[in-house]
Parts: sequence; C-alpha cells; structure tokens
Amino acid sequence: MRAEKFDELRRRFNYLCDIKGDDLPAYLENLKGAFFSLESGWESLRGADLDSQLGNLESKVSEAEKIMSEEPRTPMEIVRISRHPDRISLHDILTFCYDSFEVISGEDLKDPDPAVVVARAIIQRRKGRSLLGDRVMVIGHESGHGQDERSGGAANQFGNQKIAHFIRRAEREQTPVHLWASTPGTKALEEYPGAAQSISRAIRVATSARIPIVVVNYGQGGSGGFEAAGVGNIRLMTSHAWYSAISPEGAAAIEALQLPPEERTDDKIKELIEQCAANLRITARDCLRFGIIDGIIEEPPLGARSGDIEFFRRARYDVIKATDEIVLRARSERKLRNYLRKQGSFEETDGKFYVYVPWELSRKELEKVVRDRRDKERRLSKGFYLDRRSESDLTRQRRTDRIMRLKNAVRKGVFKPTRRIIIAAGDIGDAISARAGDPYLSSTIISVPRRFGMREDIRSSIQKLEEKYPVDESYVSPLAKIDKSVKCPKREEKGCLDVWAPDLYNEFAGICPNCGYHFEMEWQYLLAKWFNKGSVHEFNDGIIETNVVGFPGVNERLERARRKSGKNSSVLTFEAKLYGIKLIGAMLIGDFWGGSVGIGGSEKICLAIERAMKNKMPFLFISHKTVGIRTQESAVGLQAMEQVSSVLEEYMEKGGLPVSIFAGTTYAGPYASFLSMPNNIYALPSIKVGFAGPDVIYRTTRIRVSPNYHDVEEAKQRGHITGLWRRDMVRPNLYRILVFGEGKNLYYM
Amino acid sequence: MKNKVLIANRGEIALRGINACKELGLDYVAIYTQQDSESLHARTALEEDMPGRKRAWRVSKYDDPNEILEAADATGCNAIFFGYGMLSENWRVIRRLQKRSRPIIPIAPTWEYVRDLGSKVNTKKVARRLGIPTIPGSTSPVRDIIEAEEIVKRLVRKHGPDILIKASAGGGGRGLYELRNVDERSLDELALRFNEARSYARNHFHDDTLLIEHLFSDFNHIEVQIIGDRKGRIVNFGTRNCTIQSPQRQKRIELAPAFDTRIDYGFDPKKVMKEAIRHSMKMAYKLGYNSAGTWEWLVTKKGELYLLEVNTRIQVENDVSGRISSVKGRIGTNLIVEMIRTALGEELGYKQKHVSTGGRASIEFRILAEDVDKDFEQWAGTITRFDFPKHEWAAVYTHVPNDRPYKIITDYDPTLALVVIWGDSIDQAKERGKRFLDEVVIEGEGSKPLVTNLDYLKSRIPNLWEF
Repeated sequence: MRAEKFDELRRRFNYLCDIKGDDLPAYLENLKGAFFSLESGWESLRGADLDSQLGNLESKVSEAEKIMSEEPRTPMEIVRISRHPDRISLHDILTFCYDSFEVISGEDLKDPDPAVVVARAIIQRRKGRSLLGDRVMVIGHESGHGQDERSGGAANQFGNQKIAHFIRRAEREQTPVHLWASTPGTKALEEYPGAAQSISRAIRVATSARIPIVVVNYGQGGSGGFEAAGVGNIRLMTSHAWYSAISPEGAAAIEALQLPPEERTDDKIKELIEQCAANLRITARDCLRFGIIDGIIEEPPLGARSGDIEFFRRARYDVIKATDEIVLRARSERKLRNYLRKQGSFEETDGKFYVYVPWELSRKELEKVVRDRRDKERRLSKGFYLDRRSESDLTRQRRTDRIMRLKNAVRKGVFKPTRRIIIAAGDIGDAISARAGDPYLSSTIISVPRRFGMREDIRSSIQKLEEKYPVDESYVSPLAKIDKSVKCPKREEKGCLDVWAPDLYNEFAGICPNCGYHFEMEWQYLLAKWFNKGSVHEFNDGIIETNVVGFPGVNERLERARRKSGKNSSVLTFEAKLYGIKLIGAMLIGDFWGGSVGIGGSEKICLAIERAMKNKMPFLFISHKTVGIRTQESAVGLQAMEQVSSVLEEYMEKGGLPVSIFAGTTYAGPYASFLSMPNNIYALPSIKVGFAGPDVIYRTTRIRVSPNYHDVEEAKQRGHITGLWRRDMVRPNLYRILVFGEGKNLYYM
Repeated sequence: MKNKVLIANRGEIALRGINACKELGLDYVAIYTQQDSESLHARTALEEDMPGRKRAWRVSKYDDPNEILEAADATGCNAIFFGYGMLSENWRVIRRLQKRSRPIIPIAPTWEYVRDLGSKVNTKKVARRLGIPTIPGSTSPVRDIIEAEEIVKRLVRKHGPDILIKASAGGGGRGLYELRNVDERSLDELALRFNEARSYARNHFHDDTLLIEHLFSDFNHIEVQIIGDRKGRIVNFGTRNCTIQSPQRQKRIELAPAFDTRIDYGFDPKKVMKEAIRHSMKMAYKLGYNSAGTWEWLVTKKGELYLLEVNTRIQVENDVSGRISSVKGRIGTNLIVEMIRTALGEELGYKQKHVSTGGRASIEFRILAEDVDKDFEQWAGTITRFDFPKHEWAAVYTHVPNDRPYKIITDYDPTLALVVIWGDSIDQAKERGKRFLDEVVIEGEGSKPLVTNLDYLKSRIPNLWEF
C-alpha cells in the first residue's frame, strides 16, 4: 500500500523532471535527494515514520507541481510534454470525448500501421428531454502511451494511405470527420505506396472531400506526417501541442551546419535546440496569431494526461462546436449563427446545448463545405509576403487573360457547335449514300472541312513543328563556355570518356553521350530549350518573400539568395508556348535558397494555377531543384504546401491538366504534396527524389538504406514516377502528353 | 612555326600518314596501344623515337579524344591526321580541335562539313536543293504511319514495289528493314515493319524517326574522289567502282576507273561517269568543300545515278585513284600527301585540266584471313609468314610485319593488307593482279587452319568491271 503510494509519487515527480529535461531547477534537485534518501532508508523505517515521511514527500511534490503550474511553459517544455508517454492517447480521447465508439482499423498491433487508428464514434447531445446522436468518423494518430509498435504515432506509408482511404469512406457515408493528429513525423520509407505519395494523396483527398472535417492537433504537429491529417475546415489545437515544419532538434541540426565544425559541441547543440524551439514559433498561441488554427483547447498547466476529465469535457465541447460551425456556415443560416454567437448560446450548461444542429447536409451544402475549406486555405498566405508587382506586369497578365478568354468563348460557343452540326450533316449524307459504317471512306456529299478535323499540329511530325516553332538556339549555357574536360561520375562502371564541356553543356544537353548520366544544369537552360523562342514570359515577380515567423538570420539569407539568383522568390511562374500550345508553369529554382518553398512562393504558384484554371490552360510544374519546405517558416511553411495542393486539386477537378517534371534533386515537402499530385509525373534520369534523406530514415525507422535508395530510377520502379525523359527529349514528350491529355475543359491554341 | 602532325590512327593508314609526313619533310608523332606495339606503324615510330624528340606516344585506346589531345599538347603537335575510321568522322572532335584554347589543325574538312555531310538526311536535302538525284524516298524523318503510307504509295507507283525502311539516326547497315513486292492496296505488312523498325531505332539510336526509300536490288556502287584546298580550289581524281563487297557490306575489291568504256553495259558508261563527276563537283563547289572527300553514287542497270552519301575523309581505297592519275604529266599522286599539304594551308598548285587518268586502270584487293564459304567468318590466330612479291606496278599497304610472327588483333578492322595493282590498261591491270596474287604467301597458326580470301579474290578477277 505504501509502496504503491511511493511509486505514485515517484511517477508524478518523474513527470515533472521529464518536462524540465536535463537541467533541473533547484527544487526538483532537492526533491530528487528526498526520494533517494527515502528509498535507501525504506527497510529501516517503521510504519508511522514511513507514513509521515511519505506525507512529507507528497506535500513537497504537490508544492513542486504548484510552482511549475504557475510558471509559463517554454516551447521546448511543451515539446517534451507532447512526447511524454503519459500524454493523452487517442484511445483516451475516444473513451472520454465520444459516447461510444468502434475501432475499425489500427487497434491490433499487427495492423499494417498501428500508429493510425480509425474509429466510428457517436456523440450524443441532449435537446430538451430527448437524446440525439450523431455519427462521426474519428481518424487519428495513436501513440498508445509509449507502445513500441505504434512508434509514438509516426505513421508509415500505409498509415497515411489509411487516412486518405477513410476520409473517402466517410465522404461516401456522409459522416463528418474528426482528425485527431499528433505525430512526430512520418516514416520516410520510399517503398510503395511511398511516404511522400501517400501524404500527397491524403492531402489531396482531404482538400476535396465533400464532408465537414475538424482537425485537432493534440500533441506533436510534426511536418509531413501531420500534414497528412491536417487539412480541415476548422483546425483546433490543444494548448500544450506544437506545430512545425521541422522538429526543434532537426532545425538545430540544420543551424549547426552554419557553425564552424569546432563549435558544434553537445552543449552548443542543446542550446540551439532550445533557441530553435522558441524561434520556430511552434506553440498554439503562435499558431493562432499566424491564423493557422482557429481555436485553442485549454489544457491543465502541466499538460493533459489520461485522468484529466475536465480537459476531455472541454475538448468534446469544442469539437462539437467546431462541427456545428462548419455545418451552419454551409447552410448559410447567417442570421441564426450571428444570433447564437451574440447570445453566447453555444455554451453548454448541464450537458445541454441550447441549439441542436443536425450534421446532415444536402449535396449543395456539401459543395459549400469544400468551397469554405478551400477559401480558408487560400486566405492563409495573406500578409506573409510583400506584393510589389509592377503595373506593367499586371496589365500584361490582364491582357493575355482577356485574349484567352475570348478565344475560349469562341471555341466553346461557335467552333464546337458548328463542328458538331457539320459532322452530323456529313453522317446524314453518308447514310443517304449508303457509305456509313466504313470509317475509312469519307462522304462524297458533305465532307468535314479540314479546319474541323483533328488539329494539324497533332498529326504533323515533330520535325515540322520544330521548324515552325524553333527554340532559342542562341542561348548557350555559361557552363559551355569553359574549355575543359568533364569527367562522368559513372566512368568507372560504364567506361565513359571525358567529355569536352562546350559539347556536353550545349548539344549533349548535359547528358553523358556514353551512359546517359545527366549533369546538373542551370534553370535558364531549361526555359530556353524547352519552350518556343521568345515565348517565355515571367509574371508576378513582384511577390517578395519575407521572414514570416521572425526566425533570426532569415533576412540575411533571403538577401543572399536574392543576390545569387536575381529573383525575389524561389518560385518562378511563367507563361510559355510549347509548339502550338500555350501553358502556364511554375518552376522551383535551386539558386534561391536551394529551391526551398515558402509561403510567398506558394502564393505565386496558387496565382499561376488560378490563371491556368480561368484560361483553361495546362499547368506545368518544373522542379529545377528543391530541398523542401523552408523550415525556418515553421508551421506557416507547411500551410504553403496545403494551400497549393488545395488550389491544384480544384484545378484538377475542373478538368485541368497538370504535369510535373523533376529536373533536379527533389525532396521533402513539395514532393510530398503538390508535385506528386498530378497524374503525369516525369523526371530526368540520374537525379535524386525522395521524402527525406538516409539520416532521417535511420533516425525514424532504424533502417539503413542503400546509397542509391533515392535514385529516380528506383522511384520509377516503385511506381512513383510515370516515366523518365532525357533532358533533350522533354520538348516532344511533353507535347505528346499535352496533346493526348486535352480534355473537354482545356482548350489549347 | 614548323608544323608537326599527330597521326591519330593505327595500322596501314597510320603508316601511310607517317610516310606522307616524311615525304613532306614534316615532323610527326604516332600513337599506339600496348597491345598494338608489334604493329608496323608503332614499330616505325618507336624506332625513330629519341629523347627530346618524341615520335611515339602510348595511349590506352585510339578513339579517346582526351588522350589524343593530351598527346598533341604534350608533344607540341599543331595538326592531327585522322585517317579513316576511329575519330575521322566525329565532327565534335574536329570542332573541339578548332575551337579549343590551343587550336589544332584537323587534317580533315573543317567541322561544319563533317557535321552537315555526315548526316544522310541533311546531305539528301542539300543535294535535292541543287537538283542532284538522290535515292527516291522521304526527305525528312518520318514518325507517323499515316505519313509513311503516303510515301510508300507514291514510291511503289513511281519506282517499283521494293521498299527499304531504315532508322534516320542509323548507319553501318544496322536497323534496315526490307519490304519486297509491296502491294499498294494492302499495306498491312508495312505497318508491321514500320513499327518494328521504329522500336529498333528507339532502342538503338534513341531516335525513333525513320527514312523510307526505294530498295534497289541490282546496282553498282561508284565513287568520285575529290580534293579541295582551304583557298577554294577543288579538283577530282576520277571515279572508282566499289561494288564487290562482303554480305556485311564491307568492300573487298575496288577498281578505277568505275566502268570499262569498251563493255556494253546497256547504258553509256562514259556519260554516267561524267555525270557523277559533274554532280559531285557541283555540290563540292557550292558548299566550298575544303579537304579530301568521296561522293558515293548508286548506278542502276538502266544507268540512272543516285547520290548515296558523302564521306568527308580519306578512304581506304584512295590509292586506286591516286595511282592512275597524273598531275602535270607526273603519273601517280599520293592523295594523303595532298590532303595533309592542303589542310596545313598550302594551295593545290594545279587545276583540273592538269589532272588526267590517261586510260590507265588500277585494282585494289583487300587481303583478309576469313572463310568466304562460311559467310566471311573471321579467322583468329598468329600470322607466321607473310611474303609478297616486289613489283614496280604494285604497292602493298600493311601493318603486318614480315620478319616476326604477328597475332591478329580482333578489336580493329581485320584487313591484313591492301594490294594496289596498276597498269596502262584494264587488261594489263587484271593480268598483273592475277600474277601478283599467285605469288603471295601467307602462313599462320591458330586453333583452326589458316583460311584467307586469296582464292575468292582471284576468282573475281576475270569478271571485274562487269556490271
């Protein structure tokens, strides 16, 4: 009995120590001594003494808890709380926030991914004397209070696929979805279905699901893994949760690279971790300030644990309120909503809501839910970038848009109906002359004019097109101006000869003539050699990236990147012409901070996709090189991915044709979201693509991967990439994709 | 600055290059590989190699431009002689020589010619523009079956039912698909072959465009030898006939001139030869061709001429033209000397009217160790004895030493020796040829007994110059 009490006290004490990390304050150090002396003298003490000692200890522990409750939590303490095994698990939430539930996936530890649990649950609400229930689909990460199999809620590729699958199922069943996300990150394994691809799919599904989705971050909001379960109409966060594009440890490791090697000591790293945790602005309050989340669910000062019934009551109330809010917004019952808000009538007293909002929605209202979600995503970037677009740029855009719209109107309103009539008339003619049924014989009575047949461009050879629309032959890569020989990295195994740089970087397009190895080339080359001469026009260059969360040193690095690349953003958006087809593109350029995408860049991509959508043009992603999200933008950077994905999904739903081309190393965030969303994903050979590097894979999964694990050829075998194109064959190949992909909602010319 | 020439080839052409340099009083450096050091060209160079005056330079392979340039830079050569094969038709290498920071004179046409005339499609285009007849067929690469059908229908109607489909990026007899007796109305087989050829081209040449041509089954292959200097003067050295080839399209016997004017071919041979020369010279002049080159023609049974391709290099059989032509009365011209001389900037110094063949004739035999009956299968082993008679009307070009055994290296062209015979008339040349071949002695050791094509060559002598 006493031993149990001692253990209980020690558990409480350990929890406090765990929050504080390695550097314990004096009152905890003292307590440690007290625990030690009591434990060592346990055998010698008698009943009454032991009781008094225990009572003494208990009061000390309570006092320590009180002290700690009163002082504010530092960001790193919040991170430690969120990772603690005592932290609430999804099972606790299901038990206490919902009235009954049935786990349909992930309960068994032998599940493909026990880190993601899916349950159907019922929430009951009292209305007057009757008890009304609503079904919801609860999907979330389960850490299982430190169970090894669940690896702290780090989902693998199957877990993320599960999220996508069950959101779709909920959509079919018309049940609202509650996503309870808490994950340190995803396991970066590339094997099919692929970490990046499964995240991308989950985001894609969540942005288009016609069902209310509430997201609650109840612990760790770690990067890509969180994104997979992080898209919803309303996003809540518990007060002791964090949300960031990278863990403080990861950020510190990156920052440490900036230091000279002799300064990278353990103490320095520890200090950097604390600093990064603060600088990344990962706490709920910060996220609310940035507008990333819509509300905070308050936790007890020392973090919510299994027994905190009060917290669960609040959480239950907040998710119900959030779902109601989504439903009411969709119903456009604005007056009612405003009235309720004014009255504060959502407040629950005695377990009763004054108003009961049923969660069933009509088809039209569900469309509104999606619209609402997309608008919300789109609004996120506002205020995080400087808009210095010149008047001439905007005028140019407006002018081309107007011309395109006019052309589209003619095609839709005049050309297509006329074509239909003429062909129908031809058919009648055929029927009369009894030649119908033979597709090779044309009617002699009415023949379809050439203009209405299949377009000349599609029929004629690339050779002819190349003569009609030449590329810029005058562009010569600066690499090709140096008189030197270049060694192929594969010369040992393939026996390649050294290649003269002027040959290699000009006619060979940076490809080893013997083994086909692709050398890196600058982005200007791609624009010059892939599109018609003089057809590339950059737009929205006036959108300037800023230091969004105030991370120290970012301003200087942005300045350096601007000077190096001559651009204001790592994303370059352009309109171009490929033979006869006009298209809009976005390119991630490696010269600007390694091609890392920030919220300013994502805004540019969104604007470009919206133009393509409006003008019914194909959209092209080119990844010249990207290392991922700009981690210094923390959670805001993650929004960039969701925002682009959401706009891109809308474009695809409307029948647009996006194509991704990876022309250089492509890693992390963009690869795990919008770049992997199109159905046409092509890559140049001998580049690296993947979700995270070998080190991260080792840290998260303890698996050592081979050095060529991230080769694009491997990615192709795993089915992540549709095909590999040589750099000099992109032009005709892309053209074919665009021609074959022309749907009823895309009008070229 | 004194000119110094790097001989970037092996075997007999390297030897001829060395001799030409000596004749011109130029210093030279020859390259050789370890395995080839028994070859005569390497031995000649090594014997003359002395400290402070490098004449032989060892490389790991002959076709690596980096090593050759390193050799040229290290030995201070300012010109490179490529010969035939190896890098001779690699326009990128020639451009690199011209454009690098220490330029080197290529003993070849300047790079634009090597590039433009090296492409069959482009040559055809240029020729058509000048009104020169080319093989009937597509002028630009075809990638579409619908387009192909149109072309085939036109060809069948106009020229006959045999069609050849080949890869536009191909060469060396690879990727050829023959279609015989095509019926204009049912082109099913065409679609089949077209797709086959296309996938072959895609896999082997990374370019799936094809050329469609009429297929000639009975024809003669003739050539016109041209030399131009860098100042714009061009002369020709008459015609050659290279019709006798192995099934792998490797030439075995070459004749000059192309036709015997006394034989009735069913067409006027004089007129055909004149026409071939006229067209070739016209094209060379229009382009401003500036080195040695060969215009290859196809002559049908009816005497129709079609341009096949242009070889922008010296050819193996250049000497058959050289031996019978006289310049300003001096019989016998060394075309390699002329080529090196003009490439280094000298003028030709004579005009077309100074060049004549004067009814002389010459034959080149290529002696190989091969089994003619077994589909020209290559023999492998060591040549222990290789003797040939000495005559003033015969020249032998070989890299095979006659004083010690020589192991045939299978990596390169298997030709053992080139024998050029000349005479004042066709009959005399034939008779001398037979006499010479009878006196050649070759002995060798190998896993199989030595076989040579001597008997085959002899058997062809009576019928030479016949269509």
